[in-house]
Amino acid sequence: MKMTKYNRSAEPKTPALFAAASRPVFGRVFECGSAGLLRAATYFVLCCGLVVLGDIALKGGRTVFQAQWPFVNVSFLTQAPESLHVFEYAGETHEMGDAQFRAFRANALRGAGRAAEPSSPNISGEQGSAVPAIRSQSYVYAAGGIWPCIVGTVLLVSGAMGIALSLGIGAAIFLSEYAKEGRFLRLVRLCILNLAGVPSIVFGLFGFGLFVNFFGWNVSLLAGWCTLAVMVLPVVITAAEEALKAVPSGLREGSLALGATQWQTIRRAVLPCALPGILTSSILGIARVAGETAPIMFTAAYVVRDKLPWEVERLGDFFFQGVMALPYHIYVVSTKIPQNAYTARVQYGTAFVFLAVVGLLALGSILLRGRLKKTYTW
Amino acid sequence: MRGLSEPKNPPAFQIHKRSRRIFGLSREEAIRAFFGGQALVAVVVLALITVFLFREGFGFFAQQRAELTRYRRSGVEFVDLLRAQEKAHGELGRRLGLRGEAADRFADAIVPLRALLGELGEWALEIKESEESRADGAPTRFGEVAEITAQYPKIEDTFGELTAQLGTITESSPGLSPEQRAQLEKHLSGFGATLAKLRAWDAEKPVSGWQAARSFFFGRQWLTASFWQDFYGVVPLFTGSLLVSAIALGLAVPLGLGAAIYVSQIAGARERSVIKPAIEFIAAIPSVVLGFFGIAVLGQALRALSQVEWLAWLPGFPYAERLNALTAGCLLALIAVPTIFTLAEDALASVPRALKEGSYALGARRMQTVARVIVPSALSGMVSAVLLGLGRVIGETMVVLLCAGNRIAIPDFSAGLGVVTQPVHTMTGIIAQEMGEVATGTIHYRALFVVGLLLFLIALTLNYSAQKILGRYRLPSLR
Amino acid sequence: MKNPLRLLSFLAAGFALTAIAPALQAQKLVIKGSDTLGAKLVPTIAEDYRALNPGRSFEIAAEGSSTGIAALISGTADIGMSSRRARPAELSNGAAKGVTLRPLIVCYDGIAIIVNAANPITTLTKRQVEQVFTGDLRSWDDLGSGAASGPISIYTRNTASGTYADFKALAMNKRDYAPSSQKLAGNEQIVAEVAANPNGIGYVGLAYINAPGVKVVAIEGDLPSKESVLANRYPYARPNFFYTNGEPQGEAARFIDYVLSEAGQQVVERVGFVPVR
Repeated sequence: MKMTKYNRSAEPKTPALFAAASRPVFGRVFECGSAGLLRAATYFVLCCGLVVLGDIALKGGRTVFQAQWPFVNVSFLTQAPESLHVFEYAGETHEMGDAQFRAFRANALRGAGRAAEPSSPNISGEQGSAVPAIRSQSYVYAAGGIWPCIVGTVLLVSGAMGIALSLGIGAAIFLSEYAKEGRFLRLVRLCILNLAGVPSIVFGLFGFGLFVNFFGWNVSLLAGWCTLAVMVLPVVITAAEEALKAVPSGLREGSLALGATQWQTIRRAVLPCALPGILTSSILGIARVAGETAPIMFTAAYVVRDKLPWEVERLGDFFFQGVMALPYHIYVVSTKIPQNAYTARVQYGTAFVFLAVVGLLALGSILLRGRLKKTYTW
Repeated sequence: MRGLSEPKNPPAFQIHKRSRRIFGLSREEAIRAFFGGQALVAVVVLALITVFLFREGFGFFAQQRAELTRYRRSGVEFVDLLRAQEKAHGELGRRLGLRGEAADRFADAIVPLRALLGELGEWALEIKESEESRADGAPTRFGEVAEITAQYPKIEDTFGELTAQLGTITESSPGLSPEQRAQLEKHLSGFGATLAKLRAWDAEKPVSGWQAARSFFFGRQWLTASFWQDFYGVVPLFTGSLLVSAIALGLAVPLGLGAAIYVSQIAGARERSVIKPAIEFIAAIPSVVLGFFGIAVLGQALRALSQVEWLAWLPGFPYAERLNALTAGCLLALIAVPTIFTLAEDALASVPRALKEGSYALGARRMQTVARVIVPSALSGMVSAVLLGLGRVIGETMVVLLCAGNRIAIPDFSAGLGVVTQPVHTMTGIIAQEMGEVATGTIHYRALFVVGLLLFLIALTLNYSAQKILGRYRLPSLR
Repeated sequence: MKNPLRLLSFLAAGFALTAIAPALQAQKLVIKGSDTLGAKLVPTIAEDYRALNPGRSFEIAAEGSSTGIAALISGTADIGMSSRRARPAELSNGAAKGVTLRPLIVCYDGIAIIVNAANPITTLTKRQVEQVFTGDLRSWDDLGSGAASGPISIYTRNTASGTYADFKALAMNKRDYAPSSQKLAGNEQIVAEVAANPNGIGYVGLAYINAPGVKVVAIEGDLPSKESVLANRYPYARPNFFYTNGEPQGEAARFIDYVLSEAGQQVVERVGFVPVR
């Protein structure tokens, strides 16, 4: 048998797509390199998120947590904001909230045998007296706590979600179960879906124009509820519809085959199935409503409100009062008070509490969604 | 078969033969009407937003037209034409960079024109204000505008003096370079055009609705609470929004798409179960907290970074303002990445396995498969993800209000890529900033509504095109 | 939670309960308006007043003088804080709605020009101030050898602010601000930005000048202080007002009396403004 030389050039040419396969070293480098680059991108994103969260958690944690029992700075979470007084007394620097400072000053002056002048915290001793002068530097909103803000946010969120859920779930049930499929229905669905992407400031503008000015409700809880509810309504409707559509039609058909009416089918077969999905999406909606500042800036929020929302004289007053809210408080303490070591405490503390609340809601929604997907796979 | 009773239906599934009628409706129909009512209310409320925005917004154009008419008829426009010449003189002085005696002479040359401007300006302003506050039936002072325009010969003389002065400066400064001389020449030749405009100006020329619209959509100045004249031009705000969004997407698109490709194609199952929720959790950070982080930490850090010597070759570095488009853009990128990531990962994961397996079967490596098979087939989903990320970023308010610097001016693009370090203002920021001070029904109030309307339409367009490209209808931020 | 209706009924019951809860018999005072007054002075005086008269409560919103006057006209505030006089358009708007805007001077203030502490410049002429803030002069080099070098970064308040309008009238000959100026929300933010930017210049009320990192510039030799404002030597001095609808009544009258009293004016002085007496 004649051995012909193996002619490499007579091989069919590998198409250019896979030409690189004949140069394995370059291919491997390219593989590892690009995979490494993508991995770096992913971890870079996670790093940035971690930096932001970590910075706020670290500096905010110093305000919110403490070393002794109960390990949480309860006074920060349960008091109203007040001014911080920084002063020197007997050679030491003290920092005190307003109420504590007044008591301290009264005691100090009583101890020195003088009647305290309650109105002016700034007493200078007369010549020859032994009363030390207490000159304090005061920082507004830098002491006390954020209890009214937490209460206000909870009220705003619950009212808004109450309105949005009751309207939205009903609307979704109608659109997915009762309404006849057709062009009009598709158009309605499309409009609702697109409205979900409209910026929140546009809703704030709408709420300001309609509820605050046109209806004359002024800056009130009711205006805030309606604005936030309108903002989250498209999201709730679309999410509820998706959850309802995810229920297999076999369930509905079986129920109808057994002789149930439409409403009975919905109530006993479809809704229990879809409810977990609806609730999960509504938790995410709650996180969104809680986290929005722009819609409430001019419809519901005040910088300082001494009274808590339930301290009203008439039932009607409850709905027409403004409230303090956490996101608006963060905005105020970021821009309206000086930036130094004393105010940084309340700035970071508020940001941490807010982040914790919204983060927990979002985390809950993510975990619930993961678990639901595992249990409800059809 | 006696004794065997029929199986009883459970109460819930008993067939009701006899039904009550409420308001002429059976119970089923009543329930259907109840849900229908809720759906109707929801749809009506959502339609109300659109209607209200349009109604308030369109009221602006009629008011703007009246405002521009008054601007013209009181002679304020005439004075502004003249003032443009003074501004050009100042610009020229800055560009020439004269020093010493020449600079002093240059500054003195404009003094007569400035004095004339002051006089005419006060007069025109008085006429305008008297028109605003006059009672019905009182005589208007618009006739005096003719006297203002009659000052034209005096204006011409002033221009002549100015030309002569500039000529002397050119001659007596031998140190001027040819470019500087050319600039001076160009400036001098512009006098004729200005004079022609002044001659042709007519106080009674009507202002068309189209001009009112153009003054908003193409106006280069947004100036409110001015003693002279308010201008509502959206171009500086729109370019600010675009600049910040461009920076944000420039950072977020590679990162988001890269992370999506990594998580869907390369990462193992355990890694994926950690990374996906983590990135989605980043989406939950409220924007006001990010804005606070920008003020407290990021602005300072980025500026310190820009002062580092071996980074000075980067365009725009070093810069002085902490609050600028770059700070806001970085934070917006952090907001946009989870949106882009979620949707792109979705699109990549829904590519049929057969494509991937076929590619592997033919001997392709993993990255080849990804680059040439999977990404192209998921391209529509990825484009849609980017568009939705853009929609999210353009609509963001608190981050830009706190961190973007709030300079209402068209960014100076002559600095090239260095424009990113300039402070800007955005459409969302101006609404949030000025919403509290406007009285209902004033032109400023309506102008803010038109800006809101513009944002609404942009968001709607982006969402719609994203969904069209994707071919599937789904919520931008939820699964 | 199987039934969303049950959840809703719980919520409704909760609201009903909280609403019928015993209410405190408290007097409420709604104060809206200027950031110059409302960021530091009014909260401090309000705390003092509350310490003296327990049971009183305040609602404060400080987004700018224009918001205060607008709120007073629309009836949503008892007192409108304003660091500028009401404009004729606002007065006529109020008259149309049956509201008489009555001003009351509560303190005097000098608008201080601040620069970064590292900037060697110590004095400016009035003409230079006008040129800088209107954008005629754009670089620190143009201000002479005593200044820093580099482009000037101008920080101003936003259009809702009374200080913004006052400064235009007093210092800039009613001309418009340079388009390159950055419009910030409050005095404290201006202080923070100027302190961080070596090329920065801005204006703040007298109460905000004692901050680390900034220094006040003398205007033709006069530094803003209580003496120079009262003696009318400082060119950018102006009064700050409380506006009320007609004569102040009830709780508003009592609070204003306290502000104008000896004790109140001591607080005014301590915060950094110039008292009226």
